[in-house]
Amino acid sequence: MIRLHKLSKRYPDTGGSALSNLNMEIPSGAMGFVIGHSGAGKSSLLKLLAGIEKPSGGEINVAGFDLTQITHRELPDFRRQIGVVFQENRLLFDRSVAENVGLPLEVCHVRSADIESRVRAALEKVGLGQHFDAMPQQLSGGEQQRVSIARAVVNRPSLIIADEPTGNLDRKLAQDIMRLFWDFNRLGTTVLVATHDVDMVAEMEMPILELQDGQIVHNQFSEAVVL
Amino acid sequence: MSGTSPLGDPASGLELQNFAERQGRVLITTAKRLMATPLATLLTIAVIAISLALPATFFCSVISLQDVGLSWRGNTVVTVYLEQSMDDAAGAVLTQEMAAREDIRHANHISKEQAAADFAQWTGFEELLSSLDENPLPGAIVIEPAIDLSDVKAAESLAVNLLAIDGVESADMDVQWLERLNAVLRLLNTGIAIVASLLAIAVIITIGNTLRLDVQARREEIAVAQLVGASDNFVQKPFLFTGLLYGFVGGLLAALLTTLAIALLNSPVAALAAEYQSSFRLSGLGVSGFFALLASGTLLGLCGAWLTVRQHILRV
Repeated sequence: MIRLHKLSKRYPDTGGSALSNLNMEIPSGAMGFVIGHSGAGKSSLLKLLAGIEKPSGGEINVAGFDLTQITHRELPDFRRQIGVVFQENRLLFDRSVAENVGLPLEVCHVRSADIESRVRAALEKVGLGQHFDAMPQQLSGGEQQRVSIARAVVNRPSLIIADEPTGNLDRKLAQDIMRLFWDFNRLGTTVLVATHDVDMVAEMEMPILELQDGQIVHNQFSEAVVL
Repeated sequence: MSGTSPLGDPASGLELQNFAERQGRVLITTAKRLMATPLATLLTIAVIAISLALPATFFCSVISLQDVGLSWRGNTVVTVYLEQSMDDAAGAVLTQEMAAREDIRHANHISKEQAAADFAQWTGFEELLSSLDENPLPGAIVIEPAIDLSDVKAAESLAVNLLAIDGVESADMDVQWLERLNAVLRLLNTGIAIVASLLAIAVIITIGNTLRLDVQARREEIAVAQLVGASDNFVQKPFLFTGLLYGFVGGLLAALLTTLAIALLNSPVAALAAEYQSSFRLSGLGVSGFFALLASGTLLGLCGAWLTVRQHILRV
């Protein structure tokens, strides 16, 4: 599912090296965490995996796409294969919950009737079926994050990438969100979650990829049991 | 950038019905978004409409004047003034000789008495004429040439031939005023083309600037759409439809403004024309002009949107 070979990322503006010489593979169907202190390179890695940024060197292959060579025209096709969840959820507050969740289907030119049924199903999965017509600002922080998860999974992606998805939530809500990811993983979706919540990581007992100063210092994915 | 049409590709494996449904959905959403800010939308449309209506009104006026020129060209005549010493009998004979020429279709003799009577009628100087011992006006022959007098060389050749005839004092070609009118109309046409081009650029800039602000305001929406797999075409579409709607409604309003302006102008024009015994009126847009204005507005709107959105969305 994910393969990195001598991957590096430098930001010319700061002159610093965010990631250097990363090598790893994550098989399809795996679920695990990317951990590390602030500035370790977690967000840079996830941005590269989501095709938001381009690597400075090395190779990166995600869901069958070579992101080192990917063209602007191919990028939408790649992004339709993955679901991304952000810490700040990035919902559109002038659109209803259903419209937010249906956006990935809309961009794929799915029929209106099919969009509605699939959005309802996704919202049911995250426990927000009753909020179909609500506006995001009417929901709590945890509910908004669940809406963003519904948006990430509505297109049935093969890979979910989540960057600090529980960063703004309390313990109970964070656990709920992690259970949701686990549920999707049990259905066969590969899930990669970046977090600095070590308690949560310990509780979930899943493989970790630990970054420090832009380098991998601990990789348990090679030992992971794929469901 | 995708190589397909910015408005989507019906042949990309999707049904035509699904394609039409998507376009309709975007169009309705775009229209609702515009109506949500009625004042800003109205101001933009008003600028477009005025920019289109101004050259359209001038253009209609010039076309009307050109029509007048064309209709009068067919009636153009040459007035040949005879020498004062030539009596009416000799003038009549000369008229018959001229009528027999190949380059003259018709010749009509105006006797000295008739010239005096016409002069008195047109000028009102009847008493002045009658106070004179002798009629000072010469006889004349009004000629309808068989040649096109707008052909300058042919007209000059005819004038030389006429002046060479014994008893002919001068020849007055009515074509000169027409040439002057045509020169003025050419000047006006060029001026209108320049003004129309500048205003067309203004329309593109107006729409471009409006949409640039719109793109800025919707940066997050664009970024999120791109993150979930939206193509450039998908992201651009609402903005292109916005430009299209601005242009279309602006064109409609411009047609109304042009019609109104011509209706308002026609009243003083009719009064002025009456002073010259003319029934001249300015022509309206007509059906073809209406659709041309509508198409121009729509195309300019689409063009302004395409140029701006293409530049700014790729930066988001």
